[in-house]
Amino acid sequence: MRELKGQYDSSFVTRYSSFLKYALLMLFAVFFLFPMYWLVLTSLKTQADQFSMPPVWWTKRLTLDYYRAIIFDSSFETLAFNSALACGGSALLSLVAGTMGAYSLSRFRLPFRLNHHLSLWILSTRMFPPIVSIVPLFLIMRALDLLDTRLALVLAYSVFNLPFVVWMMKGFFDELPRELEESALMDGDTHLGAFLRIVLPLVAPGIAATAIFCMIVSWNEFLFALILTQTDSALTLPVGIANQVTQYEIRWGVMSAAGVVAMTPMFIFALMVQRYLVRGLSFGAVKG
Amino acid sequence: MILPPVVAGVTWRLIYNPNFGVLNGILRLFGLDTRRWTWLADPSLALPAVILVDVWEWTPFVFLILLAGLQAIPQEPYEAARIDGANAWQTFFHITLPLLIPAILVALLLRTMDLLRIFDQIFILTQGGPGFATETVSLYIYKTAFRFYDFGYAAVLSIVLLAVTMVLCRLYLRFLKPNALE
Amino acid sequence: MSIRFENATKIFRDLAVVDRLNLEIEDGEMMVLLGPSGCGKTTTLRMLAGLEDISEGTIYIASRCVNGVPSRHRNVAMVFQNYALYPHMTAAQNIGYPLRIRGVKRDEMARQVSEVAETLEIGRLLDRRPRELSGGERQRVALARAVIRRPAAFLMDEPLSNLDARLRLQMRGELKRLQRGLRITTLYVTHDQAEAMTLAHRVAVMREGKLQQVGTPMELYQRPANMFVAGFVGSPAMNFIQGRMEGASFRLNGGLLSLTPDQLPAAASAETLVLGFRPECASLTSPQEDGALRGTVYVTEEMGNETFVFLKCEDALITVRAEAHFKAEIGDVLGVRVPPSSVRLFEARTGKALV
Ligand SMILES: Nc1ncnc2c1ncn2[C@@H]1O[C@H](COP(=O)(O)OP(=O)(O)O)[C@@H](O)[C@H]1O
Ligand SMILES: [Mg+2]
Repeated sequence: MRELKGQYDSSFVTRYSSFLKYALLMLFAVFFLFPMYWLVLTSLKTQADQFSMPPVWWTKRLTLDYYRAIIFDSSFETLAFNSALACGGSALLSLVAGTMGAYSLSRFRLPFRLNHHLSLWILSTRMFPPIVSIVPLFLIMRALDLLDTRLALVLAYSVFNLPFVVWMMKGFFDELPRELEESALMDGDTHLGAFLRIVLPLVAPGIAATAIFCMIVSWNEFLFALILTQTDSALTLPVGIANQVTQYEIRWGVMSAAGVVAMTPMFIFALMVQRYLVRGLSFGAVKG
Repeated sequence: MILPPVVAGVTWRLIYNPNFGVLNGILRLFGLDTRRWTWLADPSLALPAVILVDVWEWTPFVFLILLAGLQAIPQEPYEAARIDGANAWQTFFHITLPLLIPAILVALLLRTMDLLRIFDQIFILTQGGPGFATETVSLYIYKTAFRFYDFGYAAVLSIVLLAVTMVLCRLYLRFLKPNALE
Repeated sequence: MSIRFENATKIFRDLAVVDRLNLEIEDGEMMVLLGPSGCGKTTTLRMLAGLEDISEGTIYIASRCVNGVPSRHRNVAMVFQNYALYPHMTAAQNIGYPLRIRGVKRDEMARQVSEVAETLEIGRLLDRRPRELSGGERQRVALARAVIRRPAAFLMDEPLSNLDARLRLQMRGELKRLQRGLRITTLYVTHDQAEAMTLAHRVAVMREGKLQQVGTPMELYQRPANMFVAGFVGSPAMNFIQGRMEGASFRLNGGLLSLTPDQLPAAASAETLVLGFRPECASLTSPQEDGALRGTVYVTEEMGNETFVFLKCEDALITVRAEAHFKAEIGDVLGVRVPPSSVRLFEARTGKALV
């Protein structure tokens, strides 16, 4: 576009505006990155540096004490284990059921325009606030005597993971030409064989990405865990951290370290699904 | 955006802390520490503070949606506009913006729905306080059910929230329809 | 293995997309199903393949009714328009897939794959994946996958339409040699009349779900059953002129065309007539010539080996083939001589051929 500015395009204007552009970008970058830097730094600072004013922007006096503290804290490990189990279990459950559901939704014509209605219904689960389901969810879990169990979390997380899997996988199946399965049928395969030998290998990257998204969302989930769990037998990491924060005396170092530990796997996951990031986060609305 | 909201909350509590928080530290650099700013405890500051956290957490997501939208715009209209003699601003307003509207609507829809349900960060940052300064519907429903154990009233509130959400969602989808969500 | 359609019908939402199709394909024959796009060719093929239920009627493969029989038990192979190669498998795995399903031993499979690859000259491509193959190579792999199991019949849905013009001609020849060599019953679908004429033993012309005519390419060209077939087969298309009889002659713009004696009775029986003649049968003369049709030159197209002259005769636009060096300006008035023996007559209302 630059050449369009024509004759009066002095190099001063160009340089000035591009300086402004980069300065603005820098400012944004600092705004978005600095809080993360600060969390990590706090988790490594000594207690004295944490509380000093003016703040210690950068220091060589780093300590791993807080990380040591949480690693040797058995209750932290329990929380992390609960979190991992709840998110892994629910991802697995949702993936097995959801992938098959998505396949039929994508490939078979159901009567009464059910394909359309079901798809919209599934999409709407992304829209409604989870808080509206906590009262019934809590009462159901209490009636089933599942309160404060990891099973309750697996089931509750599947409430939002299952529709997510169906919607995402439906997108992946829809992108796969139908002729591939028809060709497999012509080559003598059964429907199931065509699904297992042709379709599944081709959507494998999609399945992996969907699984990771399920795990990210479940790992980060707070509200359901807050109401469904009480004790170490099922408390998840986010709830554990929240319980610390709201107490009077906050151990900032341990808190920050726990925060860093809780978010690191998610960053790794996000890197793994980079290609599908927008698609997953927007519930498939943006194919990216 | 893939950050656990609880961790986002913790991070910003560190930043907003009136005694040793880095925000006050920055203001001090510029000589603006005329008083001890209590970001989350001051009824007039708490809401903007909470909003800033949400902006911080979700702007990158909106950025990515818009980026995907931008990348989906074909090159030809730009070339045509150039040949027709449009300048950079005209190109932006006549081509980029109209073609980006579906992406903008998707971003708006998703963000609206997310904000109707916002809970985690506020729970960590202020628990809805001071007073009712940052209390959201979700937080109110939660407190009604699990602080005051009034499940009936909480259920009513839930249904109202659901209805509002559905109406809003419908409205958005009506706008989106001609532009096609998929 | 012979194939027979008996009143085969496919209905999509009360619309008969294929309407009471009766067609028999003999053992070893290559039948080409020809028709404009949307006329129900693919649907016919898919019913035969078992990918689409048949709404009414019966389909027989080797005298066995296959209604309701799943595709895998019909012993037919299909080549899709976009080839439908499995993207995650190499060419060799693609070709071997039908054998793998049938539990053929690994080394036997490898032997057959390389044998088939040899015939189709893709031996050196076997380790590549579909995305590393060109269009023509993919086409060959798809053919190899169909050939390897020696099916009762080949089904091909516009297999050449994704290739560029040159490759299409080349593959057309190879396809013909392959089919004639293997003598496997083939139903081949296309909308390209040149493909149909060159490949087929017999051609079946379809229009809006209804079979129009079945016959050898020569029969279709020389004795089309109706105006649709006459217009669809042959390029450039047949010229049609509406008119009426005057005694033993057909009234043309500028003159009277006398008909041959055997055409007369039929011509007399119809109320209004359409006269058809092919561009390559007519010739250009002076506009004054007796019995010649008079027309104004609309445009000429020089092809190098021949020249097509388009003339406006009242409201009809007709085409006449002239020799390569023929020269005419737009607006010139010319005469068109039509030998009576090359004329086809159609009834205007129904389009049916007379005689
Ligand atoms: N699954 C379907 N549902 C409804 N209509 C269909 C379906 N498949 C094909 N059709 C219709 O049937 C007609 C014939 O289609 P097709 O057999 O694909 O034509 P061709 O292959 O000759 O171009 C078309 O008008 C098409 O719209
Ligand atoms: Mg077709």
